[in-house]
Amino acid sequence: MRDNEISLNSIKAINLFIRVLIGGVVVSVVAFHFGVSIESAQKTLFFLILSIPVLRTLQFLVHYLKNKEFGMVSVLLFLLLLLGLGLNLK
Amino acid sequence: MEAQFLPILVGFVVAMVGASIGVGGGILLVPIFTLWLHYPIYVVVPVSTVCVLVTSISATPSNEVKRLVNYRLAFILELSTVLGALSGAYFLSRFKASVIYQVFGVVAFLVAVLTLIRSFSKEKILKPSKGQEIGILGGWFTNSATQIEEAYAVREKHFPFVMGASYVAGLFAGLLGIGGGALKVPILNVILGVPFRVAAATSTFMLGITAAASGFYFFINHQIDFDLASKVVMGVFLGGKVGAHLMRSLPVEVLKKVFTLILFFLSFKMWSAGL
Repeated sequence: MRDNEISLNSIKAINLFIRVLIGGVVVSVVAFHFGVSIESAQKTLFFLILSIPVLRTLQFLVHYLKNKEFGMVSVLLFLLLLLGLGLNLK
Repeated sequence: MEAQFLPILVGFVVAMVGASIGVGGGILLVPIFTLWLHYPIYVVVPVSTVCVLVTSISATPSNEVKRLVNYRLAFILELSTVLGALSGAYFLSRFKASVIYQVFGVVAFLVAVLTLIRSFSKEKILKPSKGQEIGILGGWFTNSATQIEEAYAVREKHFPFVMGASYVAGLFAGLLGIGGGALKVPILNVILGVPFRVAAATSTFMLGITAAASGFYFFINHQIDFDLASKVVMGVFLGGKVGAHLMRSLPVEVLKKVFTLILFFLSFKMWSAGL
């Protein structure tokens, strides 16, 4: 692929982050089973899970900025703006 | 006790079946939770959206390692898909449950028909002719049959139509809690000429961004049931891993036909539940 500059190490790091978050979900289910409701921790956990695609978009934004591909940079900025809109729509 | 483990089990089975035949779980999760486990559709759709996101982010790294994701194409199409997802999420709490059931029935029927057509149709790859550039959106992929790296181009003149179709796919994703991969993959392959493997990997990557948009909306508006979501996500994550391993040993073509039949049945059940 054209975008093979995104390193395997960063893919591995994100994969590890995903596993840690899912591990957190498992802990929250076990805690709930024993009558402990950790709603605020769960909220944070899910917010982080939802943020992973935003992190990936930011990662590519940096990649395209480095390569001075301003067409793709503007696409990603607009996309981030739209994702931010999801956080502000009521 | 049973009620505690049922969502985990359902998430596990749905993701296992989904991963082994290459579809997301949303289209099965929503009917099962609403029709048989009697959860309100307004609770199930946000939970299913989170599950779609988890499926996407856990499946994408292996596709990235194989260099199958076309990021440029994904990001450009996401502009309209995310807009669609935000509109869908916005409409969820504003539509009557019966309307959502009926829309789900129609979309599930459409997905079943597309899956059926796909199982009989041939792959359409747009290969650049000799000396021709692959263009801004084209790329390379390893042909699984020949193990040779091949170039492909993208039919850019059809892009406005594909952007419109992506908006509709996003709208259904936000409103119904489905991934919409079954709609996107044929569009990417048949209309743009992207190889199936690349289309499937790119679509899986896109699902995460789409689900993040509607997921943020549901999160901010307190529409996510975190306890139910935790259980289903746990099942979906484990089921997805098992399904990906089973893919090599199960009769996938038979499973796909069974899946299509189940989908026709679910589309009818969802439609009639909305009447």
